[in-house]
Amino acid sequence: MMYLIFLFSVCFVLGVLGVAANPAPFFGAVALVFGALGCCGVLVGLGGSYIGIVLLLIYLGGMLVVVAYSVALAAEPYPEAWVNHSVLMHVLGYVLLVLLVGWCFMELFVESGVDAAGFFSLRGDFSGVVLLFSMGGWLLLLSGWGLLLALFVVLELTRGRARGGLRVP
Amino acid sequence: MSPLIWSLLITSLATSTIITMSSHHWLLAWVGLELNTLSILPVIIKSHHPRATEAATKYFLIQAAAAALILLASTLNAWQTGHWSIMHTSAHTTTIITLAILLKLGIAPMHGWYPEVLQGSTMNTALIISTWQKLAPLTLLYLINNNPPTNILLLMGVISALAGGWIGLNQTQTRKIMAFSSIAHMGWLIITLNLSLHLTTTTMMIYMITTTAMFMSLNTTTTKTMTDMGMAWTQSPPLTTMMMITLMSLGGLPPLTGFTPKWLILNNLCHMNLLFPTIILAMASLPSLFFYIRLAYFTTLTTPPNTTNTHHKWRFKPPLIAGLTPATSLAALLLPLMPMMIS
Amino acid sequence: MLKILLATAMLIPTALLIKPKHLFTTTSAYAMLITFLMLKWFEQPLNHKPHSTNTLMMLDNITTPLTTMSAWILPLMIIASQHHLVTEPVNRKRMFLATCATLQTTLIMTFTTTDLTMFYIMFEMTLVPTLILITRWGSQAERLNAGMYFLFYTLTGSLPLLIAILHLYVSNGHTTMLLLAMQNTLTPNMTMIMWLACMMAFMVKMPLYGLHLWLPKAHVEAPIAGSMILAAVLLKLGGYGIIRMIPLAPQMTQTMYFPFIVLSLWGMIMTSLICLRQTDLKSIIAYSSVSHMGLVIAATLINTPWSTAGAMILMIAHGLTSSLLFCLANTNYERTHTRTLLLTQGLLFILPLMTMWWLVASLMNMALPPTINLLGELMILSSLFNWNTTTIILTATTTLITATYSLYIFITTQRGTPLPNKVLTPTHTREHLLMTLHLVPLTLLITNPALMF
Repeated sequence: MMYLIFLFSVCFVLGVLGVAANPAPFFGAVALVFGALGCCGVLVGLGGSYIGIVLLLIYLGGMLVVVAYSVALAAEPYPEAWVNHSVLMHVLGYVLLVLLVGWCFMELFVESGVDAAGFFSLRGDFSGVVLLFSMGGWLLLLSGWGLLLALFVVLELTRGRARGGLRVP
Repeated sequence: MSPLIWSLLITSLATSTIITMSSHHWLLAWVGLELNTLSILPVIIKSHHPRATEAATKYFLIQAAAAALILLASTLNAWQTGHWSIMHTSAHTTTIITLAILLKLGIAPMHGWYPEVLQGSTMNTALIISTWQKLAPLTLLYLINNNPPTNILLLMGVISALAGGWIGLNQTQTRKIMAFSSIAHMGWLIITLNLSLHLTTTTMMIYMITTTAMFMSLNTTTTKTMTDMGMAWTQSPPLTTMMMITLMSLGGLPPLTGFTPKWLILNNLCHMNLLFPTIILAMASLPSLFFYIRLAYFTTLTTPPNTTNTHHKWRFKPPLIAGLTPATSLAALLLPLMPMMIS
Repeated sequence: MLKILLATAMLIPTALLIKPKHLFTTTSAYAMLITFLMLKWFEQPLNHKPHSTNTLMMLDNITTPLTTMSAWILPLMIIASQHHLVTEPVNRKRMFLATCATLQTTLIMTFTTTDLTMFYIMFEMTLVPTLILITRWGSQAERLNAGMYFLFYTLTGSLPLLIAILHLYVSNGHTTMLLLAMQNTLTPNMTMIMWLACMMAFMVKMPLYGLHLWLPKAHVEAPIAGSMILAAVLLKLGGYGIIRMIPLAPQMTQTMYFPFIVLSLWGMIMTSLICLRQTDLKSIIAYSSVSHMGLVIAATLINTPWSTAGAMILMIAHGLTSSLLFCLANTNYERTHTRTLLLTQGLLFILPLMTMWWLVASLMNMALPPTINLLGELMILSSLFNWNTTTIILTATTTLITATYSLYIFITTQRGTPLPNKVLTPTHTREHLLMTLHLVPLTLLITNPALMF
């Protein structure tokens, strides 16, 4: 189990790296889903199965929207992947950074262990999320409203390419 | 912007503030703050001007960062105490949350974004940002008032009152001047959180009334810079006179409305025997008064030279805003109602 | 009390609403009527002091003369301003008169209120109309600077006063002047800072030498009405405030007054010497005000019955005299359009009747025998002499220099050869009326000086 969680954590870090290295939006979304998968795996491994599933679903849904959005608005003929020159430099830089940080703190983690920091005291609280969905119907509605609002706001902000919209053509 | 989206945004602007105000749970308060930020963004960027884009970006970044800080602190609080109630927040997390809220309010050491945002948006949006958008964060400060970080509030209030007046001396754009005036007023306001919450309410009300009156007048005369202000008298001399009175009220000259909060705050500080902050605060009102008086010079007290065609400006009837008359008269004459307001 | 206050306040709508044809006549006649009604205040049945009190206001022998003088100045201001307003549109005339009436209303309330907080608010409230008078109705560009100086000197001085008043309120639970003076509970713990905070506002307003820089600017740049009310009444607010504040802390005053008295006496000599070197007519009169006010500061600070009475008399006398001098300077200015002494000489040949007014005004300013100026100066000089004999050196020197510069004004403006190519209009009856109305109280009051203290 320990190794599985480690594997998932590496997945998560790689996914984050993939997003941070700044490829085209398609690939960024794919990497984010990869990271989310890893994160979900970590959560499931630590015992929070419900919250893991919720996370995966939300990220899959959200990334679907992003992929659809980027296909619709930001489709480039030659999208940059990770092996492209500019992105590759970023990837290598970030990998180095992660290795460096990991090397520095590995000692610490090995000695104290992940769990020694009291992380799992938070785990009991995850069940509160279930409570949220069973009792906080209004809050769910509010979140829905917020998502709708965010959609409209993003559309409104990125509209008007020539007139100083947020999106750089 | 289509009216449907507009009404959606305005509705959620109003409801999100109310959600934050009425929430008892940190998560809900945070959701309200985020919705509030989201819904003002298209309003700021509506004019699709590069400056408006800049303003919206800055506003979003600052507000999102502050909201994230609030979320972080409330999570920490939940970790430590095991519940999410706003009313029972531990001392450390209260400090973090207060700092985040002060960032949201644009209190002095964290005020850099505020003048730029106001300058980038239209006059009415600037009015919304400097009045309505202050309500939700301020309510959170109210709610965590069982153990407020007193020293931080006092210190940052004094710094804000000083810096608002001091930096405002350099400005020539009316919206930036109003931004610095707002920063100075916010300094006075957060000091009252240490004194009494009734006083905070009174101060906030009067701040909103005077600021609204000023922004409405500026909007009616389409005054963007101090130079424009010299031309305002050709449109409506009574309005410029009222602008002068409103400016003096903002500066807190007795017996105008703006003197009420200053008087009460100084009185309360004297009650607490905080003589040093009292004197600094009283003196901090002088630089801001200086730029208000300079604006007043441009409105009424001088008639600057004009080109000949500005003399014909009075022929175009200026669009009358319905609330202008009550707003300016409230901004001038509320001092005698003071006993009613604080009780 | 209200019959005067309301009547004065109603001057504002009168000025705004009356027919343009009767604008000046009605407002000045109305203001004059109010002043005559006010004379009833001098009748004090059973000699109660303070008399006719209510919960907010009172009248006593310090308030009454000053209030009456300020009410008397208002119609004179209106009369004096008629010429420079003649080219203005009627709405601006109305606003000017409304501003003057507002100033008058606030002045009455400042002088008559019993509550220190109310006094502070009204004291500050006089600033706004005065600022408008100076900066809106002055003529040179320097008036903006002068207005700023005026406002910020006064405010910087008076914000500590506000804090001191609030402190008094916190420690006593009320700020009624009479009760505070009677209680004297705060006297032992009245600190030096507190005393300074209470006094500096008035020292700036008077002004004390060293804090006087706003005054020549404000006087010179203000229009005639502004100069008149500044010299006649607003400076007296300072003297009034000191007289009111000293009973709150008599002991502290005894230890604190030395530097202030020294500074005021030294300032008298300095400012009278400055007068001799001025080229600007209004500036001389302004500096002469500073010089006379130095005497008042010294007299109010030593606070003996004689010195306080002398200070009251000198304040009344100086108020009318300097107002008269400003009016005279203004009649010259309206004809020659310059305040420079070199360019206005030889007026004796052009305006011979005006020379008589100039002579009388100069004699009043140097305190010649049958005037109340002399009475006031004598009382102050003798009480100062009684306080410390060496002060006579400073005060007597000042009297000499005052006489010198008064004659200097008279000679440079009236004698000499007039500049050629100048067409000057003859004097108006209005102007003679104005001078007479200043001089009548000045000369008649010597018959009953007890009215003034």
